[in-house]
Amino acid sequence: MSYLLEAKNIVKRFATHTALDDVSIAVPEKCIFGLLGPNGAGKTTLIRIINQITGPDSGTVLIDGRLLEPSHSESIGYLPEERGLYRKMSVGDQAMYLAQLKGLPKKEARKRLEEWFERFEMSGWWKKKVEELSKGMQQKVQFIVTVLHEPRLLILDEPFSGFDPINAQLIKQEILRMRDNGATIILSTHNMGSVEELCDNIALIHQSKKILDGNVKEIRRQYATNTFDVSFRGSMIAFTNAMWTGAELVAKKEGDGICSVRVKLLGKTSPNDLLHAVIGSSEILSFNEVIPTMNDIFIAKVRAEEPTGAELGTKSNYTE
Amino acid sequence: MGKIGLIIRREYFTRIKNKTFIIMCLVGPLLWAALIIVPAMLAGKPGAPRQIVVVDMSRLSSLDTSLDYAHIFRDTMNLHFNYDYVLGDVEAVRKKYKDSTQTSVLEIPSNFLGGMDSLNVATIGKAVILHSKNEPGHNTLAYIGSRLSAEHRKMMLQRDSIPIAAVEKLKDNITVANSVRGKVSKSEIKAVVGFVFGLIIYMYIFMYGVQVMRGVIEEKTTRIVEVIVSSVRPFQLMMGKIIGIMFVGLTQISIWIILSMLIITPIINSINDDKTDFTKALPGNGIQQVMPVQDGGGASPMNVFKNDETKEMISTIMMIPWGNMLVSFFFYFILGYLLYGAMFAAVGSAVDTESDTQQFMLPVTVPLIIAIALSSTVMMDPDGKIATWLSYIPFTSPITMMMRIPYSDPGAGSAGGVHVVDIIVSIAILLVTFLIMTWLAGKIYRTGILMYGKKSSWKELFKWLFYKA
Repeated sequence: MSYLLEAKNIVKRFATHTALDDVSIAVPEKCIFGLLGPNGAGKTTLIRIINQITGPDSGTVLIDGRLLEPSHSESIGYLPEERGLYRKMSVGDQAMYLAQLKGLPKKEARKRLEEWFERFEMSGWWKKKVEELSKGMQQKVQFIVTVLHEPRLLILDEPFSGFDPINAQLIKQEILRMRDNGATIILSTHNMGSVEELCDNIALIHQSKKILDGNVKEIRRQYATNTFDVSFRGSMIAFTNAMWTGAELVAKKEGDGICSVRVKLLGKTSPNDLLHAVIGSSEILSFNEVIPTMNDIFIAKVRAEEPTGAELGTKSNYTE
Repeated sequence: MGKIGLIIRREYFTRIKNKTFIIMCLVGPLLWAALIIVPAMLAGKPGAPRQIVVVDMSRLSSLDTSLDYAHIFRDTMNLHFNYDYVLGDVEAVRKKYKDSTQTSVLEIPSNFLGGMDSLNVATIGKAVILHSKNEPGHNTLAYIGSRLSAEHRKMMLQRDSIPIAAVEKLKDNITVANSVRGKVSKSEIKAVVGFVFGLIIYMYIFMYGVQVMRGVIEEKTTRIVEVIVSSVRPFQLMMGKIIGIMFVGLTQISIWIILSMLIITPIINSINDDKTDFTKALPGNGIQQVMPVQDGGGASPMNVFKNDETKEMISTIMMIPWGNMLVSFFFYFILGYLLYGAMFAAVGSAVDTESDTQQFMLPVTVPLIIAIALSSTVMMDPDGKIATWLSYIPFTSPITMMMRIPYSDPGAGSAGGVHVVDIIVSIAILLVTFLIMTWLAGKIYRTGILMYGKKSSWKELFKWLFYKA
């Protein structure tokens, strides 16, 4: 697989703490890459290094296999988490200015802006001052100026904050559309739902270190704990008695003559072994493997680094 | 155009399109004009003169024929003296004029100059009182006081039989002409020229340096800075801002000069047409300033001065090394602003709001204030130790050197005060300091602009200098 961006062994220290400790990530081309981690983990520092806003103490960043250099900034679009616009400047002037800073010629910038304004239904905004716009409207302008120069690498830090669900959906569609058009996107967010929905790959950073990375589906599968949700008609006691010693009941729920249980398979027990064991005593209605959500994995991985570790597939995560 | 050009353009055009800028452009010259015109108008077209009714309770005037009040108090443009009640009863006269705003009663008390008894020094009373309904003004009191004092002195001299003519001779002022290597000049004019140039630099640095700081704070608080530094290097953004604002300042000053000329010239002409010389009305000359001007048909303010003085003034102005002056002004003006602009940018980057800037502002601006505060010391001794030091220290040299150059004589070698070499060395030091300071400020800036909500201290700023970019 060819990587558009590779960051190798990045170390960044500040006076009192280490922001990144030997962090490496590899972002494949034309994918959406989730950069995850709790607040203060070092995500923003890594993003700033990729944007050449700050430099690493050691380590290298490669784009297309070539060392990062100032001219690369024109093929990167960056939407920072802490973002804003000049309040007293008009939307049009401001967008033109930022587009030209990214290397777009004046004419081209104007043409593209008009297209985007049309698509985002904001054609009348050109002469408005930014301070006259609502927060959501400002976010739209900000998104457009980030992507206007059609960067090959798009870095979006919490892109959905400040948007209502309708506009968040609009932005989601745009992100997917740009990926389909060949852009590579790094998405940093705390919204795990959108990570599952959008991201192909992720890296999880915690306390300045990368603690997990890979393909989202593979990670979720990898973190599956051989746990199954079973619902059946019949007697709970009969079911548990019939359950072979190779399985353990994690949680149970009864009501309306239907029982739901979460069962964790032990040792070499296969799902079929369990089904064989219980099928005589109960009428099985559903049988699903529990695949952990990114949310579960995030929490579990981060907690595991702390003294009071938690495990996946335990009762605390059992929601129906 | 490069990216720094884009930044300069944005800084420039957003500012000159701003309403405040346009208003300042118009209000500035109006203020200057008002400063010059209002006193001229006031002096040129005075109201009715104040009437002073003299009442002599000491009755000195009836005894001593030499005490002739009409001779002592001569009418001026603003004062008219009335001797109708000189021997009257002060209470009655006061009652008569108690409601008049234009009339004051001058009461010379019974014990004035010892009264009728004798001219005994020991009993001289000084309590001459001017009764008025409204404030007569300092000049009125000063005029009356000075006239009476002079008269008193004359009487004392007479009493002791000292010939007045002999004393009058003592009053002759001896003036010292300033001839430096055969060239006669007036130091005051050099001082004014130097001070004006120094003051322009001082004001420019202050006004527009603070704008740089505000601009940086604005970018930081609106959080746009992170977007911009992902496209350009922080140093480019900082320099673009400093240079853009420099052009804004130059534009504003040019507009001021042009508008001021347009406004002031016709007014000066019209005042001169009235045959009223407004230059006499400028404050600082004591009571004489309100005397009517003996009109010599003067159409130009220069005519106020006696011919010799005019010549001397012109020769002094010609003697100022204008070539040195203007070339150095250009360098000191630009480099001085750039040096301070970089420091103001660093300060702006270190804070979140303007109110947090105080702890940094004072140390940054102190050298400027010192340069202005010591201006009189510098001008009193333009080649003295303080002046020499201040004109090499880059934080004060733009102002101090401009004050020293008018006193120098570039043709006179090392004896001629500030030599061209001195200026070049001073500018070179300034240039090097500017480069170092900009480099340091850039380091503080690029860290500071991305630090939100952190109270920074000098210690913190010092640490930022060593962060790797």
